[in-house]
Amino acid sequence: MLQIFRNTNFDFQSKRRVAFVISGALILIGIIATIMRGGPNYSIDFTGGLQMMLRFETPVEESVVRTAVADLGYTDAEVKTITGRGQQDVMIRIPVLTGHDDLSDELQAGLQAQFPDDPLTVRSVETVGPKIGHELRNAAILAILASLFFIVIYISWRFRYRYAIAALAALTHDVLIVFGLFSILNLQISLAVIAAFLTIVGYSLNDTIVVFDRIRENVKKLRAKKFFDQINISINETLSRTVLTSGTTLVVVFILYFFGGAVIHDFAFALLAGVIVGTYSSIFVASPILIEWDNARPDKRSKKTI
Amino acid sequence: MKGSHLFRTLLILVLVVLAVVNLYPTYRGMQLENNLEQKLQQISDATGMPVNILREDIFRFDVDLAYKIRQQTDLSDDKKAELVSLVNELRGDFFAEFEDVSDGSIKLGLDLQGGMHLILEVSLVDLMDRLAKGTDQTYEEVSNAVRQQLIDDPTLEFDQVVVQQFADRGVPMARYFGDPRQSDREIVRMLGEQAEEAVNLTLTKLRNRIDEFGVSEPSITRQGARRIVVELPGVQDPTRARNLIGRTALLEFKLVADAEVSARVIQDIDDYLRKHSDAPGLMDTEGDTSAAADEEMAAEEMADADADTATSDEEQTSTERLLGEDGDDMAESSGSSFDPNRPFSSLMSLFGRQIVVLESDRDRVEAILGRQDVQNVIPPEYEFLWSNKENTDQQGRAFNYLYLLKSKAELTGSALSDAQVTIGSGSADPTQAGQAIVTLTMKREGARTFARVTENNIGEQLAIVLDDKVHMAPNIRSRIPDGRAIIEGMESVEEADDISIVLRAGALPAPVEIIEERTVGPSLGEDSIKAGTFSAITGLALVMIFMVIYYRGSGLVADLVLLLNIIFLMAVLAGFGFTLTLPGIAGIILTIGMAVDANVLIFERIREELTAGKTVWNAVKNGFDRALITILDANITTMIAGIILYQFGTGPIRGFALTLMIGIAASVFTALVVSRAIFDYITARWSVKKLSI
Repeated sequence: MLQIFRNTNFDFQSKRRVAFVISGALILIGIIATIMRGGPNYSIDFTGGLQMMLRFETPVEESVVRTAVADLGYTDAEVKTITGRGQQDVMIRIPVLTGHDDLSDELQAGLQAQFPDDPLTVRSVETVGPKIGHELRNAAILAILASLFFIVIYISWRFRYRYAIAALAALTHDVLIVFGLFSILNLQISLAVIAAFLTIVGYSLNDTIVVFDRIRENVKKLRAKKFFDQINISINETLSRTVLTSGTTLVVVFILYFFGGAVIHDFAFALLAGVIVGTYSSIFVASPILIEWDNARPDKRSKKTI
Repeated sequence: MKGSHLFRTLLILVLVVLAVVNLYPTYRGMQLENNLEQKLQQISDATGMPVNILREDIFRFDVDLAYKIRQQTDLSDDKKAELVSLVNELRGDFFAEFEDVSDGSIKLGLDLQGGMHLILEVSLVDLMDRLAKGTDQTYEEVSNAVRQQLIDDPTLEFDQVVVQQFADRGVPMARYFGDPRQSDREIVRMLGEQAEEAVNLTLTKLRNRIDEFGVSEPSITRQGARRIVVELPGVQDPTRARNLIGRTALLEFKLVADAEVSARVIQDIDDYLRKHSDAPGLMDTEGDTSAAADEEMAAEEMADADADTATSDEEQTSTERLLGEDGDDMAESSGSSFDPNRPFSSLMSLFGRQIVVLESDRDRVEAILGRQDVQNVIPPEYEFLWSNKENTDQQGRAFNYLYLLKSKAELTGSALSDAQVTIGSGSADPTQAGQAIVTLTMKREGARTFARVTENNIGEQLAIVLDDKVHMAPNIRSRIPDGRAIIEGMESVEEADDISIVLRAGALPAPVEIIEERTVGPSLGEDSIKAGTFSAITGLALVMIFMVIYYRGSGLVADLVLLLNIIFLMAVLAGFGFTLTLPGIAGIILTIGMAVDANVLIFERIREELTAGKTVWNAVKNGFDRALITILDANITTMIAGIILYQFGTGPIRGFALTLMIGIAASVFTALVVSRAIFDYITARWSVKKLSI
């Protein structure tokens, strides 16, 4: 029998204070980075604007394209090249200019005129009006809040209220850290990234529930033990599963990140970070909160009825 | 026990058969697509026609491909016959099967097959302007203020802004709309209803336009109260599509103001600006000197350049050389250098009624004309409009015509019965030879009005205005009795085609705004499919290998179940006609990674039971039973996130939520039912002593 962990007995929970410090620091750094860059780096999905991906037959240097775009009068444009599998795409982002239906045409024609011998093809165009952007932002916030609300209800029903709050804390922790990472790396928060956040919520929860489930079982089974030990044992018992599932998920997300193409690159990155943090948080955020809570206000019912 | 096992086995078998049946069209469709591509490549190699054009035309039966092939000069007759028969073969039984199969195939989203996604919104301010009666200066102020406020703060609601603006000025809305006794609130509600009606009408008109444009399987749906979502798969020319859909196509015939009126209005604006030179937005006079000098030099050029755009038709009229008639006036008004006393007119040259503005000065002129106070100087029965495109003078400088027109249209596009594209013969005007022309035919009543208008205004200029852009302004030479008119000056046959399409389909009841566009080119879509497929297969292979290494025999069961999971997922997509998007593929890939979780939970439990010394049969039973609750709890919570993602998401994101949810459901089912069945079968049949896990 091939086993990663055989009858492990790691004392995870004694290190919970260290974990709190690490988590807190990570979240804090993310928040500071976000504030320093003047708020979250929203993509045109939320701010409104134009995003265009094009490809020159013979690749042109990023700085050259940037100058060319600026020469066309789009001084606030953001130009980035993405290289993958021997091909290079140029991504141009321009904050919204109202009343410009054919901005993408102008940009294309203008750029082609500056590189007359290097045929360019437009790979994709996205234009979002400021009003839609605003609506999408509200919808995204609402979606995240709604999912948190329903999840708390479900866990309170299946477990106990404090388990719901602990799970909620864990997944908020996960989303905040990934969010902060986006600010630090100056990646954009797009609709797809919000979708990734919601997936992280789902994944982190999945992982936490498995641990909680075992805790619930062991609280009944191992009555003689202290709550602290019950939790440590539960985590150790589920450790193989935690590592296995995180492992297979990470493998596919890695592949998606490296081979999935430019369009879902940021999305895959968010998932990648989310899976790692989500696994960590089940052990080092959700479970310790249960312990701290129990220390502060012992749950008399937990021993019997949970 | 026996009975429930039988039922379970049957259920699994039925589901597997259903899945295979549902997936067959997709599989067959891929085969046919490959086959088709090969054959098109053959045709392309022989004829030199690009494959992507062929792909578009092959199933468009109004395109005569056989004719195109026979026209190829460098091919032998045998070869031509062979290619024509190939085309006929493809358009025959092949096409029938292709159509049949593609109905049942997994549908690809616009981000994978390439195409255009647009969200249009009916502009309520424009609709209000159109519905308002007896508008005056106050109304214009309100309308402009509302427009500005909505641009400045997109979070505001039209209803509130408009009521507020009218209230601020103490004017009841009933002055311009509906019944005098109606309250503002009622009127706003009425406007909302009108907007809904406008959306419905717009929907029909857009369908007509798009049908004529010839996109396969377009989707035009309503979203909310005043939005329309248009999806055009495989559009090759987004610019054209955008123009075709976004334009209102309001055609109007308007009389051009007399030369004296033009001169007076321009004079008035000059006077006004001079008096209010401290008014905000007035251009700085310093920088203007050179522009004015340019203007002066350009003045002479205009005469020649103008001749290129002047147009004519055998029974109609050409724009007369106005320079000849009114040359003296012109010289007087444009010949002098910049004069700070003439802040408006020095930006233009006046040729009688025709006003010429250099492209370099256009922004300034627009800024002046855009000012509310300047608009108040212009008599309400007149308006300034620009020509539809810019011209170039002999020195290569771009310029535009500016027209002062009577605001009231003599006739609109609703009077048309038909619009067709013809290619000009050039018999009347050699410059129009080979140029595309749109010929308009009017309904009987329209023709009568047109005859009357032309009769009463001989010698005047009648501007043909499409969406507030003047396409041409020919002189009326004589009464036109038969209700025929033409529009010239198209840049290409396509443009003429598009204009005729929108004119035939009719004007939209209110202008629409494109508030969101997402266009993916076919090459990017293809790349995404390749990248997605590669990632999925690699991920699947790695996970499967890993499971076998870790769980050995049981790992094989997990792998089988994983494959089944993916098959079920795809079959549900195909069977229910869901659309697969790139994020959808990402969802499948994520499912591959996460789907083994249920089996891992079960296997770990079984291992624990075995370690505790249970028999194989008991270990399997307990393993499944104990893992059940965990699996359900863990997956239901993920499902909640998925459902909400689906609710909130648009297009591609929904695709992700969808595959994620189906994947979760499939993984729970395959783990708890299919895995269980296999384990039960193995332990019961062979009464194994040792489990390979």
